[in-house]
Amino acid sequence: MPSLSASSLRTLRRAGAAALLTASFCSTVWAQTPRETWHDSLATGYAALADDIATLDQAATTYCNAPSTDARGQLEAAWYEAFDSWQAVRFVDFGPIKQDNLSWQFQFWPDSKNTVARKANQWLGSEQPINIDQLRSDSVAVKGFPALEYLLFDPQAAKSQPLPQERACALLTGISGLLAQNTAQLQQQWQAFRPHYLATEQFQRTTVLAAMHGVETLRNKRLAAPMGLEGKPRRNPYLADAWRSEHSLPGIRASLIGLQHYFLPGLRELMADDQGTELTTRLDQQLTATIKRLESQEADMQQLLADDNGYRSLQLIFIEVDKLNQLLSGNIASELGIIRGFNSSDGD
Amino acid sequence: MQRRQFIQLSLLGVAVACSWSSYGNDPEQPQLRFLSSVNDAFGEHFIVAGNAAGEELFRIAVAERCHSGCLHPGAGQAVIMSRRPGVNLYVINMLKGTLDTLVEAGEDFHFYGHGVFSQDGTRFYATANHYPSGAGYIRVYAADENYRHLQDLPVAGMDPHELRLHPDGERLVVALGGIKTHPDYGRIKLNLESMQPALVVMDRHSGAILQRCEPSHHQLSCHHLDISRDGIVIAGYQFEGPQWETPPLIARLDTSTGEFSEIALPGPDQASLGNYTASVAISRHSPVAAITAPRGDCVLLLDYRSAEPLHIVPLADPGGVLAERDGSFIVSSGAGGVYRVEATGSEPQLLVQHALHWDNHLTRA
Repeated sequence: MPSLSASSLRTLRRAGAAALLTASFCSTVWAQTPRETWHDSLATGYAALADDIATLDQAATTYCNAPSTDARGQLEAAWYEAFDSWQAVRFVDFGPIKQDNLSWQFQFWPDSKNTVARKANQWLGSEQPINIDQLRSDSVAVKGFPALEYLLFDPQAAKSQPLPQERACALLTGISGLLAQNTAQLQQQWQAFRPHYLATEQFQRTTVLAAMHGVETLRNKRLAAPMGLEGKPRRNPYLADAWRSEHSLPGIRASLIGLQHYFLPGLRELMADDQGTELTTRLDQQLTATIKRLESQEADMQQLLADDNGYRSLQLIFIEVDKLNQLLSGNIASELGIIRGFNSSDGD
Repeated sequence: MQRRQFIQLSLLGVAVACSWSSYGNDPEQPQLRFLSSVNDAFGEHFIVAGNAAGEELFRIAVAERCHSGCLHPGAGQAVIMSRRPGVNLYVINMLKGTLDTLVEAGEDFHFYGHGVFSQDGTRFYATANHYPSGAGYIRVYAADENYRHLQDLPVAGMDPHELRLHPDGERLVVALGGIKTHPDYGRIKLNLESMQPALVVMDRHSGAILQRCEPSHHQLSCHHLDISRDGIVIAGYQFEGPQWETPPLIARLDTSTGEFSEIALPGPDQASLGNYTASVAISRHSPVAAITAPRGDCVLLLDYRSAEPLHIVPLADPGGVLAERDGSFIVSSGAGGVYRVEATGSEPQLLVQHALHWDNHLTRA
């Protein structure tokens, strides 16, 4: 299984270092406010994403200039690592990531109509020149990680225009270049957003709600739906994200690591009393338990869904994720007096 | 109140719920009733009828989340529509509290969740998206011929959302969100850079656009509105631009003079709305309009004649709002409460707490 590669571990180590830094700040007399901590943590997360996408973009260019098995391996590893860095900050649904559908540009998902493949194939099959500007004006489905994943891992793509053929390479480097530009913009705007984020009380609630929503999506859409527990009662690996690269479960793990390192420190600041400390400690422990459970898998979603033993493993993961969801959206939200609005979160 | 009692009351009322004449000064008129789309605690969808005390009168199970609609002037029937990008128009028998029939949007179209009847009840106008082109239309139906589709009136823009019938009975006032969506992409907004929202006045017979007003920022998506009996429109925006900007969210159009303006709130008050409004209701008995702001957990009250903001009333996750005869407003909350909000801006009075989520709008019934 390619999923628990060294790349994921590197992401973990770097995030761990960031958390240590944050922790040392917190121990000073002039403790940070929750929003200062969150802003700093997420700045670290966005910086990691920018680094990893730059590496991915470079690996794409290197491979296309001089294709080799080694270069291909490095390119795929770079995709996994950058994808994981994105998963770690994916729960953020406020601030600059909301601009220009940036979040969708990174990852168009769910994709029930296979729009990613259709859009990529249109580019592969046409005569139209491929460059960043052209891609920028096209559909969100062709701009991000899933489109790259299609080119790198889907045998369908390889059938018509396998890498490193010219058009496939042009599309690959075009998308990775666009991702690099978008990430630079995100990182810069996140810094510009800081004064407003710190000055606006509402963002405290918004940030907690973002984490709650992230875990809920993880539970319901990324896990329960492919397991047939939500929507149609039928197992369907294609409802998961990153099924083409068999990276669905490692992607979930990366999201949990992201919560642990970019969300939890600010939450600790917010819930500093005894009761709060108890709850954030339990959250930390539950995140760790769930991450460990995911790391013990020897196969990804698709293979686990194929037989009952595998399905039982997924059920055990689901139970851990469900506990996590209960803790965050139940106990912690209730302690903070935060309720997710029906009209405010999904109005029209 | 039991269903039979409700039915008796329904027979008393002859109202054109989505236009100015929906409730006049007639003291004999029965108390306020409404329809609302709801989700229950298990995420199942219903259309619920309620009264001014917030009590449930009946509910109809539906397969999808619905949005808003309109009571037929004959009051025996109402239409509730599925939410964007839904394709169904639910015709409800208000006398029996049952679903009469389901009308589909037709190939290549979906609805936006709002519709209105003509004063004589023979026509139903629904905002719709022709999604292959992204062009917005008003789809016109013969309500007296089992909702046969008659014609489509182009709105010269995208994303027509709520519409109301002008008190003259001849014009439609349409809020254009300006946002391009396509069912293949779910609810993703596809053109945030190039949106062209507007508030449009249209001749309901010819489809001629009589006036088109543009918000002060191209990302101020014009979504909801109400119109007073003297022809003043108050419209609510949803801002799609950066969260660190706080532009005005309320538009005012005097249809007798054509004068269009926006109402900004002073300093931090503007930010407190959360750059988003849900429903608008104008009182027929006082110069007060109420606008719900669920992302700011508040209801804004303003003087629609003078355009002066009056009060910001804190209320969790407010969605639907309807004006009462006594000058107060009934407000529904996504957290399940039905509240009375006084025009004085005093603390809202919880009428009833339900174990369900009231959706965006209350439709007068």
